[in-house]
Amino acid sequence: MATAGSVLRGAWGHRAWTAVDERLGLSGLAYPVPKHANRIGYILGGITFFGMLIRFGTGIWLAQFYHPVPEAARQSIAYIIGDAPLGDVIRGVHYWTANVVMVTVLLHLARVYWTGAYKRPREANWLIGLGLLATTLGLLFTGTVLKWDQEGYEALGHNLEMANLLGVFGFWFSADFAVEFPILGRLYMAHVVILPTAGTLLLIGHFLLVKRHGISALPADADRAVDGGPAPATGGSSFAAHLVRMAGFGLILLGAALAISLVLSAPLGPRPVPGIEETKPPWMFLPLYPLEDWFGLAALLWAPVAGFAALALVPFGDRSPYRSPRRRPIWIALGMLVVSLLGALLVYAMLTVPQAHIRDAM
Amino acid sequence: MLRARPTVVPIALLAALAAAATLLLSTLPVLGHEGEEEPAIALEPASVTAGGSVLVAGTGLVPDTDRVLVLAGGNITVDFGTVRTDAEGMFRAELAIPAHLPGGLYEIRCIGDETLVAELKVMPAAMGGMPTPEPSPTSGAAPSPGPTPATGGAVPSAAPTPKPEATGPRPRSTTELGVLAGLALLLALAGAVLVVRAERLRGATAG
Repeated sequence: MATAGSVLRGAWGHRAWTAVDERLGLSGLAYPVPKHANRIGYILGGITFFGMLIRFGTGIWLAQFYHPVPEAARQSIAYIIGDAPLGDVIRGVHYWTANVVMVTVLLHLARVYWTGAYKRPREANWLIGLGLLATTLGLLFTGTVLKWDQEGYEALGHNLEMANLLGVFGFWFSADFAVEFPILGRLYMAHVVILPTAGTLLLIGHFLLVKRHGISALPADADRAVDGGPAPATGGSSFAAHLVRMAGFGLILLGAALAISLVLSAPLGPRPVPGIEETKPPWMFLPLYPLEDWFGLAALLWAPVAGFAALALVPFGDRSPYRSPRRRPIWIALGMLVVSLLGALLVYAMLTVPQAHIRDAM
Repeated sequence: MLRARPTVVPIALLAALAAAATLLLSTLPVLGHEGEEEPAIALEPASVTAGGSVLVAGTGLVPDTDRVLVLAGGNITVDFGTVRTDAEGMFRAELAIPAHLPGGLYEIRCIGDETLVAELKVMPAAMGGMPTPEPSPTSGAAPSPGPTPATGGAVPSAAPTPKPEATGPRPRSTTELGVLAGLALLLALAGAVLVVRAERLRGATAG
């Protein structure tokens, strides 16, 4: 199998790689990579991973200046934007990369669903992927609160309402859990420690299972094997080339986020005013907004729970061995129905005027 | 025998369902949120460093009427001038707290047909660090019922306004902008080279 030594052409590069690999055993991480794995649809997970690295790096920089107490949080962000070295650019890269990562996570999920790659033996990795989706949403939610502007403050209000809805199970989300420590500080801790740690552990599991099972074959090839044809090829490319391509897309993502940041800074809304609701949530939470309008705050809890539960059950409901979309019409139709509904809710939420939800519950 | 492609039917079905769903969703009633409100004012933040500013929002007031805003405490009174409520009986105004104000508890009074009072804690300016503390809503509690945003603008203040808050792109010199834009371009180009190089490696290094 080719290694990074293949990429580092020339005697010097090869010797350097051999020296490092001999000591660290990095080639042990490699796994067979089929040719199709370098297509954009199959490399979305890798782009997401590099996006996470960018967020991690920029997040460390921002943490040097952020003050996670209510008295100073928003002012420290204004300081980051206006005064901290490259603060506005780094914050912009952090923000725009987070948005792109959300898109690539969803597209990755859609690709896996479309190609039936969640099927045996990859059910567990599908569930881990759902955990990573939840972690990504959690990072976006907590990051929104940390801004401590009107949008963030209203998001915190919803967080506290979730605590009420969850009852004893919502203790962590409640301000009463640690009355001497502002909940903003705990959400900050979730943003920089708890969620990244959970995400890292899940990622390790995700990668290990990809290595264990290999990259899923193209659906048509997998179906031919089910019908008694030849087994799909597991090679054709190399792990090193796969990594290099991911890194390439990662650099493109970083360059694009930097360019966007120079033109469009990450938003910071007005200072929060208690008792009012005049903002809408970020786009990834927007489909929930009409549900909250129609069915109240409880929908904000139960709709995501139902959605994640339904996704988690997919591999156990779709038991046919075939993976081609045309051989799974019902599941493809269901998936497209859900996507259409989410799209309709998103558009509807964008068009309606903001409604107050928290005050209704009080 | 002709066979219909199985995915065509679901796609047509989905398109129809999505259209029907959108139509259905748009006809569902939105829960009402309006209600009679008692006259009230709220401050954000409830404590501030002298020299900072505070937002005051009023609601439940008589529409299109004037209110005088005053800060009072001890023997000190600061007149912030007059605000006018909008058609819904609401206003919002930003008050610049004088930098020389001694620390302590003060009242913000909204004087009209009735006098509404909210407490404001002022910290001496010397306590400010970097970045300047900006007390915000109670960290633990959910937003409490209170005023609704209004279109009220800033009112005359008795002290200089603090440095404007940065919320947009930072002004940059052409050189700095060029370097950053060049870096963005360089990163994207390097990425493109790696993507292309990986394509070339793919055939050469079968695993």
